[in-house]
Amino acid sequence: MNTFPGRAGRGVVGHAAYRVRVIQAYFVVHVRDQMAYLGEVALGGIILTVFLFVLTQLWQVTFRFQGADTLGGYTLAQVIWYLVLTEAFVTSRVAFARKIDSDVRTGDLAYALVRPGGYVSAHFGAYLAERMVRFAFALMVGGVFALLSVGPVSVGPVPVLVGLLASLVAILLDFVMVLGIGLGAFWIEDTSSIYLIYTRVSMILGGLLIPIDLFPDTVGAIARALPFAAMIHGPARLVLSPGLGEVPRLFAMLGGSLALAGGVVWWEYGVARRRVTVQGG
Amino acid sequence: MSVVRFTGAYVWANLRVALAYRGAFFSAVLGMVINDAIWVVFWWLFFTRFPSVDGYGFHDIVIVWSIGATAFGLAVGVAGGAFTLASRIARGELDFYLVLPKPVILHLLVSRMDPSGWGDALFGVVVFAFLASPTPTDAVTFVGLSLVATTIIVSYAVAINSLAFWTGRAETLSDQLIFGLITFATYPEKLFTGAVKVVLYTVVPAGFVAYIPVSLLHEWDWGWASILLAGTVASVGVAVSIFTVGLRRYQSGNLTTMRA
Repeated sequence: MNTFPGRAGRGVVGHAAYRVRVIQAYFVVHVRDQMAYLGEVALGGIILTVFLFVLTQLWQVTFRFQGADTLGGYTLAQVIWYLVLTEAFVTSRVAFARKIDSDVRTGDLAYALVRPGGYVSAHFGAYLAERMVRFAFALMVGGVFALLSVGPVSVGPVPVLVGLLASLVAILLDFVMVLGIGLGAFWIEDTSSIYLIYTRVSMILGGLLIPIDLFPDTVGAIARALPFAAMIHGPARLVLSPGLGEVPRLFAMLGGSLALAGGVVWWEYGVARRRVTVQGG
Repeated sequence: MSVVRFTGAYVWANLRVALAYRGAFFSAVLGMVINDAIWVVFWWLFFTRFPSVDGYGFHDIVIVWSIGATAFGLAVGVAGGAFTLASRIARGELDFYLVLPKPVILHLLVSRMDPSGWGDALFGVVVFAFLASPTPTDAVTFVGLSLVATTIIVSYAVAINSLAFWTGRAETLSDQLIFGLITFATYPEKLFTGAVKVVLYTVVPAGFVAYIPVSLLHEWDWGWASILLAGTVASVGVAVSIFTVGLRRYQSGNLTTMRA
């Protein structure tokens, strides 16, 4: 049984430390939960494998038909590894907006808000656990698939580590955006279609299926100006690139987007809390 | 004829129930239209960069998507019950349907509707009308082929969901197989060869749902049309047989529920 130590200390540092402990406690519980249902996670690997298989066929035929060794600076093997990395990010998504939506509509939010630890911290701890397990599993399944289908590609340890760090920041940004969508249930009847649109737009403009370097120029420029490219394309591109030249721009985009989205969602959460009404029970 | 009237009445009732939550209904429809549109945008981006892949172009993929989306949309819009069958079998929820006068399978199929299916169907029809430049003959052929593809998708869903009669839980497996069918059916046939192609005309019948209909829309061929018709009849036969045999193993969950 996990319990949260009280609000040790006062001020910003004490409060932040308390939040970290809450997130950590939820994280540990939900990692155990994920491990208990590892079979369900593993079945998700079938979908990923089917998808990677189909995309590999598409790119193999494309490379053969174009008669080229590289397209947009990528070899066939690099494209497949790129797809593994982008698919790992996207397929590990946790649709917790649905839970927030349900909490708001059923009124369960009123109970959740008075629990110790904070509503957002609880969701973040659970989200991080589920996302990390799924992300690691997708990387493993995708990695095995890529090794068997196109073999290894040469990557440097530093780009891999910095790319993984960028993925972690992107996962945090994704949480903030999905939280904002879920809280939208205070104003609209059902947020599931907004979540669907968010995932699909980020999928295309993030370069999930085609590296952004292969987009037509105008669309590529638009995609690069949006945070989705930094979330999905950026880390994958970084892992496969020989140097770290793209790092400052990538982290500037991720950090700026996180600050902006975080500010908007913080304000939204404040407004939403004031709209909670309790009707007997 | 009475079956058609019965199905129509059920679909109308399901629509009225869904429209009770107007906002949710239209947002589900719009969400699915946007979802499908994003896929077509992906293909537009792809074919802008590579105008032809082994003879396949953007126009071909538009037809693949219009038939696939229309058929899948009609399947979940009209016979959404086929896709939730496994969970209802596992929970022992079929009792209510066993005492009704019409065939059990028909009741189960039309008793559920997924509103997002109408978004798929709308998208498929609009895309075909505006991007495929059809002649009146093409339009009639499109409607006929979409209905055939719908029948195969529903039959497939019934067959794989009915595995729950034997396995107890088959929701995840059936979801994955449906996902596989949709994925393979929305990519060009030319990508797949050898054993994979055999699978796509048997275990995951994407060939009957998309590849043959698309080739018939390009150029009508009585030989392929006959194969498609035979495949459709066979898929219905297999689905009904699996369900009927499985139903004998059904165990009630003794659920007490109120149906209003």
